[in-house]
Amino acid sequence: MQHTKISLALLLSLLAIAGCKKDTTTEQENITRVVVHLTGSGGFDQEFEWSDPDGGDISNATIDPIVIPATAGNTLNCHIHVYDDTKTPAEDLTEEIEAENNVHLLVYNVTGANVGVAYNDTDGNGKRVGIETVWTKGAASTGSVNIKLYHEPTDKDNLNAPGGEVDFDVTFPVTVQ
Amino acid sequence: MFNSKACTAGLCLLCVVGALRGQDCHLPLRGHVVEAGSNEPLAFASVYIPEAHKGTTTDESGYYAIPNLCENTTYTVEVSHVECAHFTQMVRLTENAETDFHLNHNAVLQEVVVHEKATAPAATQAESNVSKADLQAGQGVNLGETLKRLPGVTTLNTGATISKPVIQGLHSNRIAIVNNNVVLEGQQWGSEHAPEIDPFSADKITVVKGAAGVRYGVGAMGGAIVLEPAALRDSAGWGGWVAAGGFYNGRGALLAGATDWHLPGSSLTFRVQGTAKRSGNLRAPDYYLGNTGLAEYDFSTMAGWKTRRWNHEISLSTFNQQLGILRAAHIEDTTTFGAAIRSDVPLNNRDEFSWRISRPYQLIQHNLIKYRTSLRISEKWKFSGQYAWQYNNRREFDAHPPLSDPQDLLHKSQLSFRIWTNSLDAALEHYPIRHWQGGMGVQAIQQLNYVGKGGLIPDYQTFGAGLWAMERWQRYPIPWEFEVGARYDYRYSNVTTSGNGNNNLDEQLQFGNVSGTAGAIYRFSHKTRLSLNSGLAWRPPHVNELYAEGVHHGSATYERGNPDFKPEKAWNTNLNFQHRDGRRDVSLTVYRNAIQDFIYLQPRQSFVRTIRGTFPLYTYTQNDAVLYGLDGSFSLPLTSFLSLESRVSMLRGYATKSDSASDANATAWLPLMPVDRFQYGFQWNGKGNEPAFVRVMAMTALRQTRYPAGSLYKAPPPGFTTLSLDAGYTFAIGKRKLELGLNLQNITNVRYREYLNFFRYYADEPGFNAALRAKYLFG
Repeated sequence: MQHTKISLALLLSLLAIAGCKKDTTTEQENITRVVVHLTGSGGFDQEFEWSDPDGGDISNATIDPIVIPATAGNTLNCHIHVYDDTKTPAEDLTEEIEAENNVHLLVYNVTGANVGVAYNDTDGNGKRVGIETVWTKGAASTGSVNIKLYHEPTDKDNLNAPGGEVDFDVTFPVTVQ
Repeated sequence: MFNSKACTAGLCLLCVVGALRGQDCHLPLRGHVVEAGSNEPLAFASVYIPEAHKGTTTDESGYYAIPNLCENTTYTVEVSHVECAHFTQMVRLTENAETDFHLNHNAVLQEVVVHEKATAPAATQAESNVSKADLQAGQGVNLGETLKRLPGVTTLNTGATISKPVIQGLHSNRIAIVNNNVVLEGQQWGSEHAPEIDPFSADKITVVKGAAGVRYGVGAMGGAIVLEPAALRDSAGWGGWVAAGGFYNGRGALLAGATDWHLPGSSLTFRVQGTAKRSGNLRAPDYYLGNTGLAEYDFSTMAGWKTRRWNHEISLSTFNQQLGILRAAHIEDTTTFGAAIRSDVPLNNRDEFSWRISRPYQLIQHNLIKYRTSLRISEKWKFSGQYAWQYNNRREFDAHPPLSDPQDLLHKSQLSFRIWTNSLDAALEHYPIRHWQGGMGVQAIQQLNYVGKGGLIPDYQTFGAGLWAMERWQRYPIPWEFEVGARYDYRYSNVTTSGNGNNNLDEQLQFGNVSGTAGAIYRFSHKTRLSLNSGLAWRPPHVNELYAEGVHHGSATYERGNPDFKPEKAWNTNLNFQHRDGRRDVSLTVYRNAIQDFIYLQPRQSFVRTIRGTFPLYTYTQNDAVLYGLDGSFSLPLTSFLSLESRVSMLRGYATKSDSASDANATAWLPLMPVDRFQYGFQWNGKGNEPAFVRVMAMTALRQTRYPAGSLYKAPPPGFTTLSLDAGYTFAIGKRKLELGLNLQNITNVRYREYLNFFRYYADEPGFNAALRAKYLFG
């Protein structure tokens, strides 16, 4: 009888401890900032930011217009950075995308502006990724570039419908000077 | 209850004479006389009370009643039947008791068993019990699917594995699930959060339909599902059961067992019970449903001990489940969603069998510790007290692992909700005093809900208190019975931290409201009754409805709450007719549930842009609404072997006041109301009480034509008919028993989709399934 009581008490306290242990392994992911980093000739080196620090509805997002000056040369290197600002400090998600590059694909769609985008990186299977791209500039023009990050695309060769899920979908205004 | 050892017939005659003075002599001696081995009713048995010079004979169902006997009096009862031994028994009468006599055929010296059972007061509200056959057939599937066989009960599904019970159109936070006397406190607000219940642990399941706020507290607006475990063994020794089952669809297997050990020479009894279940991908008629496997293990233990006046019970239980979610339904952007709903077959589906449960999946744990005690204060009064601790941990794992921390990918969930609940209940109840029976009680509850940062809902802590009283009047042989009850509940919540777009939230919410019930029963005879019940119940808006802000995975919608919502209040009236005569069983209920400030999701015909794309906006809306309908269940014997079985559920739900821009003259139908369903078939029973049965049932569900305009991406699925078969046979092996069961679902392998399944956009319901079960009962 006494023994039963003790083991019951023990079991109760064990359950209580298990229940109250703080679970630190859970994190919700929010991409809130996408940075387009362009470098060109003549020392051109500039970051353009798409940012919505509170997540959710993006009607209050701030977007830097991408302006490519005439002095920047005809080909520019582009590097994408992705952040989560809901964490303190802000979390850089770019490395994780690179680490899992065979299940990620960035797709660029330029409208209006005279800019060509070519992939400049490959994943473990030799397929494109799109974190690194080369932008070729044409005549002066204005328009926009839409960048989508696809997760687990089913067909990396079909840029119109790669499948999988869209992790982000952002559009920058673009001016070629 | 009665002291037959000390009393001799002579002494008792004196008791009777002594007691006659000033005694209330309105009670009946009533019950059934049955054959002990087979439980077959014995017709034309004679029941005679020499002290009162009164007697009667049983009818064809074995029923007898001798009216106008005196309360708290011991009588000699002589029971005789031509085929059985004549015998005499002392019986002491109390109100609300039935006395059953189990006679042995042509037995000379075998014992006669007398069962005196306190009859639980009949509910004035509509109720349905899961029959033994349905309960057995349901073992191995989840609670929702078990209950779906009852009229007026259906399920709200998220795929084939997640199933929530819906009572007369209401579900989630609007119904109470009461397991072993404890109201389940989980994450019931979510449509993809199934109740954390192991149906194997229940010996009896009752569905109370309509507002049951007085009995079950805040939230029981649509009714309650009451699960009761088998009573602990009351004689010394071992006993228990082992069950095993196999399922064709999903290639599932289950193993369950329980054992009771009653210590000799004491009143101490222990029980351990466990269930383990595992199944793989289910198959629709044309393809496998990728990632729909399930793993579950549940364990519970109970201990009970009794003294002359005290009765203590302590129980611990744990429920653990891993549920795979159809990969093809995991959609987070509108483009993919559009393609998925246009396709007739699931896109991105792994059409192959696998046991593997991969992302997306849910990992759910529910632990409970309960202590309950009751004290018999006097002949008339009883006290009971209960403390319960519950911990619910729900983790949801997205299709893809989080981007951060790649070394630890598989162990990370995207969402986690944890709830700790402490509840304390105390009640003082009395047996009939001047024909009134009832009680009063208090409840206190504390609940802490913790969500990981960036979750869909904020964190909150709630404190609550409730006070209730309920009384019932019954005076035999007056055919009327009345019941009244009232309850007041108060809830205080402190809502903190952040959900999406709700940074730095710190709100204090207070809600208080009254629940009430009033009912009457009129008995035409002991076989036929009509009951009317009217009840009030309420619930405070859930934090989800107040503060939701974000994309809902799987449905590709952006959901937004409204912090100004008022509590929902329901006024439910139901009229229930019941006729039970042997195998003939007819039950018919009509109901109307008027809900003030009903909260539901309404499409806004506008869009919200997020970083993942543009999503249609759904906002939680509050309007007055009415739900009304009809539930029926019929079992009509055709021959001595065969009976006709039928169940009907029909429901209409509309908003009486609507802020939607639609045509003012059009009815504002509520979204997600169950479709009309009809079940019909035959049941064959072995002659008399032969332990064999076969039942073949067809179920027809109609197409839902009543839904809010613009609320659906795809028209409701067409109606369908499925065919099922249940069969059972029980072997007696000495005192032990072996129960065998077979049930076949969707026999014709029909391709269909359910309106109340969120995954109807993506895939068909599972096809043909066969389940074979064996249960061995010992001791």
